[in-house]
Amino acid sequence: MITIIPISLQQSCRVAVLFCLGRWQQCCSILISSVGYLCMDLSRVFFTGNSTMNLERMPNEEKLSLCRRYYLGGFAFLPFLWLVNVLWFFKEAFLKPAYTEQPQIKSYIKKSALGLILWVAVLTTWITIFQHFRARWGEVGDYLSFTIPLGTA
Amino acid sequence: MCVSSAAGVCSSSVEQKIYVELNETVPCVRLLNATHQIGCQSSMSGDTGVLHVLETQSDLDWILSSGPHPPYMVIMETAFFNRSVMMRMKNSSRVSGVAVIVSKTGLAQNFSPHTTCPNQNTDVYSESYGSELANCNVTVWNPLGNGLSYEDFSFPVFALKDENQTQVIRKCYEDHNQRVNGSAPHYPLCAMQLFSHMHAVTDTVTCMRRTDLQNRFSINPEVLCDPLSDFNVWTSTRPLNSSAKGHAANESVVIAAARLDGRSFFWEQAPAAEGTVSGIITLLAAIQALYPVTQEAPPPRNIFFTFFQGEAFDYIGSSKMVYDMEKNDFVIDLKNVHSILEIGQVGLHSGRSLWMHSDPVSRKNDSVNEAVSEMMNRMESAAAGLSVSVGHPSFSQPLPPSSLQRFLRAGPIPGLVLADHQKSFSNRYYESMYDDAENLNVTYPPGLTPDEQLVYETDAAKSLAEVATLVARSLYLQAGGENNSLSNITADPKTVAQLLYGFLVQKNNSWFRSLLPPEVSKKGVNSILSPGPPQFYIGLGPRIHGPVHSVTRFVQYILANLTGTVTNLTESQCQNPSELSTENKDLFSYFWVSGPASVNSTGEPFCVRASVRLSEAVSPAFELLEYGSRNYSTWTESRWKSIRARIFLVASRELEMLTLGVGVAVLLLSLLVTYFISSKAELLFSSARDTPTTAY
Repeated sequence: MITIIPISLQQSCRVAVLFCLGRWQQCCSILISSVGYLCMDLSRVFFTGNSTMNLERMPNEEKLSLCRRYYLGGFAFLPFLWLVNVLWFFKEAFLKPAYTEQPQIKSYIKKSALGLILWVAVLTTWITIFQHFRARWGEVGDYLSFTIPLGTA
Repeated sequence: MCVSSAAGVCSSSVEQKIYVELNETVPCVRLLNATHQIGCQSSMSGDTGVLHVLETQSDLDWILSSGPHPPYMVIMETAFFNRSVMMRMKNSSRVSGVAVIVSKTGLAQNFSPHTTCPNQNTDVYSESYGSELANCNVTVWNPLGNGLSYEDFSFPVFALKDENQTQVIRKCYEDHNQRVNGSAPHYPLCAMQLFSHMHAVTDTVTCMRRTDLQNRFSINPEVLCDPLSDFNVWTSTRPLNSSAKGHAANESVVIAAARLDGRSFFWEQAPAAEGTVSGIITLLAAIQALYPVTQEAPPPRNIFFTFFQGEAFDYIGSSKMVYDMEKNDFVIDLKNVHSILEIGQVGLHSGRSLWMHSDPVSRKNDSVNEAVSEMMNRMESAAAGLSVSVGHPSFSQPLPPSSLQRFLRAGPIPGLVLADHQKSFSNRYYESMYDDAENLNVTYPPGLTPDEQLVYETDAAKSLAEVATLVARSLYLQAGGENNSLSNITADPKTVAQLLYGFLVQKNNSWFRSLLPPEVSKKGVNSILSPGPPQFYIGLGPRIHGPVHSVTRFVQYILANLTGTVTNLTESQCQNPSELSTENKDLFSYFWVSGPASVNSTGEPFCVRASVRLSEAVSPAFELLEYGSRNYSTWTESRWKSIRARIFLVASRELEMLTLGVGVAVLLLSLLVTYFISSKAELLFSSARDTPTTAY
C-alpha cells in the first residue's frame, strides 16, 4: 500500500506539526460552527418569545450573569458566542432605559463586539491567503487541507 | 413521465428528446510523470460548445477569430490534426473542445504524435555516459514526431471512430449550424458537450501524496491516479528454477528481447503494427523455429526470451527486470547474462537489409567490442543462406531507443538491436493510431472468410518469417550451437500469418480461441476476445482493471502452445500440480487450454506444461516510493468518474436570460399577490353569516 515514509526526524516533525495544525484548524471550525448553530437555535427561541429564555421576564441580575457567561465563553475560540451576545443584548444595553446593571452589560457588549471584529478580520485574512496560495504551497498546502479539490491544482 | 424503451428500461423521455448520447467515443486522458502532466482535461460538468466542422482554412479563421458564437466545439477533419492547428486551438479561448474524425481519407503522409527523441531522459546516454550522444545530438530517431502526445491541453479531445456516429453529428451540423451565403447561422444551434474530468493534477509526486492523504486521514478515501503497470512474459530453452532467486550457478544466458506495448494520442488506442507487433511476431516465430532444435541438440548456453511491457513509457518492464536482477530478486542476475539480442522495428525492410545497432561507448572496452563483433559475424553468417541481408551502421552511431539501454545502465553487456532502419525510423506513423495493418502492408484479397484470412500468407508474413529465421539461427550460434544444425531452424510462414492476423486484424479467431482457457473463449463482449485487433497500451494492471492485459495473455498462451508439452493431467491436477510428484511447479507453469474446435464440437480442453512465466512490470520508482525519480519511469494515469459525449440544441444567451427573467418576475409577482391576499384576508373571504362571537 502507498505510505509516506519521512526521510529524517526533522522532516517527520515538520509533517506532524503541519498535520496537527491542519487538524486543529478543522476541529476549531467544527466546534465553532456547531456551537454557533446551538446559539442560533437559542436566539431563535428568544425571537419567537415563548420560552424561559425570554429576556423580558428575566430579572436584571440574571441578564448580567447570562451576558457575562456568553462573554467569557467566547474566549474559548468561540466567536459565535460573542456575535450572539451582541445581537441578543444590544437592545438591553443601548435602547432600554438605564438600570443598575446596564453599564456592565454595555461594557460586555462592547468587548464582545471588539473580539468579534478581531476574529472576523483574522479569519478573513487567513482564508483569503489560504485560498489564493494553497496550490502554490504544494506539500504544505495539501497537509493543511481537509478536502482537496479534484482535477485542479 | 416514464416511457419504456425497447429494453424494458424506464427512462426519462424528456432527456431523450433533448440529448443524443454518443456511445462510440475515445477520449484523451491525463498522464503524469515526475515533473509534468500531459493529455487533456475537461471541466467537472463537461465542456459545451457550438459545433463547427473544420474542413478548410476559412473554417479555422471562423473558429479562432470571426465566428460570433464562441466557444466552439471543433469537429476536426483528419487532415487538420497536426501540431500547428492544435497549438493554435490550445492558445485560443474560443475553443472548448475538439473531436477528431479518425479516418484514412485526408491522412497526411506521416503522423507521429510522439516526441522526436523517445525516452530521452531514461536511456543510457547522459552526462556521464556518451554525453555527445545524449538527447539525440547525433541521430534524431523520430524526426517526423510532432510531440502532440506530450502536450497538456485544458480542453477535452475525443476521437470519433464510428462512421455512423460521425454522420449523426454532421447531419446536426448541416441542419442547424451551416453558414448560408457567408452569414452567421441563427439560434438554435447544434452543440456538443464532452465530459472527461480527470482527478489528478500537476505531477505524480503531488498526486501520490494526495492519494495517500485521502486514504489515511479523510473520511472519503479517493485514489487520484494509478501507476502504469502490467507483466513481462519470459521463457527459456532450459527451464529455470523460479524459486531460486539471485545468481544461477553455471548458467550463461543469451537474452532475446522484444517489446510488448505501444501508445497513441488517445486512451487505449495503440495498434502499434510496425512499432511493436513486428518485433513480437518475429520473436515468437523464432522461438517456434528454435525450440525443437534446442531440445534435440542443446547449445551450451541457455537462451532466455523475454517480452517487455511498458517500454513506451520510459522502459517500465526492462527497468524493473534489471532492478530485480541487481537486487538478486530474479531467477538470474546480470553476471549470468552473456549477451543480448533485441528485436526492434523490423516490419518495413521489404527487400532491403536489416541493421544491427550497437552501443559505441561500451565498445570502447576491448572485450566488449570483441564480443559484439563476434555477435555481428555470427548474425552475418546466419543470414548467408537467406534472402535477407544484414549490415551495421557507422560505429559512432548510438543505440536507438531500446530495452538494451537499460541493461547497459547496469553494466557493459555486449548487445545488438536488430532494426529495419539505419538512421531514423522508417515508421512514418510511430506510436500513433495509424500504425496499423495497412502500415505493414498486411492486406487480404477480398472475398476470404475469416478462417481463410487467418492462414493466408501475405508478403509481410513471408518477409517476417525470413527475419525470424535469421534471428533464430543467430541466437542458436550465439548460444554456442553447431553450424550443421542451422539448416533445421526455419520459421514457419503459416504461424507468422496466423500471428499477423490475430495481432493486427482480428483477435477473436479460431486459433487464439484454441490456445486460451475455456472460460475466456466462451465469454461475451467484455472478455479479452472482443472483436477487432488488440490494443497495445499498457494499462493499469490486474489490481485495477480485472485480469491480465489481453496482449500479455495472448503472448503467454501462444508461448505455452509453441514451446510447451501436452500432458494428460485433469483440470484439477492442472490447477494444483504440486500434488503430483512427477510435476514440478518451480520449473514449469501449467495451463488449462481449450484445444482446437472442430465444426461439430467445441474441442477437448487439455493441460499444457511450459516454462513460460510472468514477471511484474511496475516501475521501481513505485517500489522505492521515489515518485520524483529521474532514473526510473514515474508514469501514472489519472482516474476519472465518467467519460461521455452528447449533442443537443442550444438557444441563444438572450433567450436564456429572458426565460430566467420571466421566471424571476413570476416568482416576485406571486409573492406580492400572496402577501396582498393574506393581508386583506378578512375582507376577501368574509362569510355572509355574521356570527363573530361564535367560536369554531
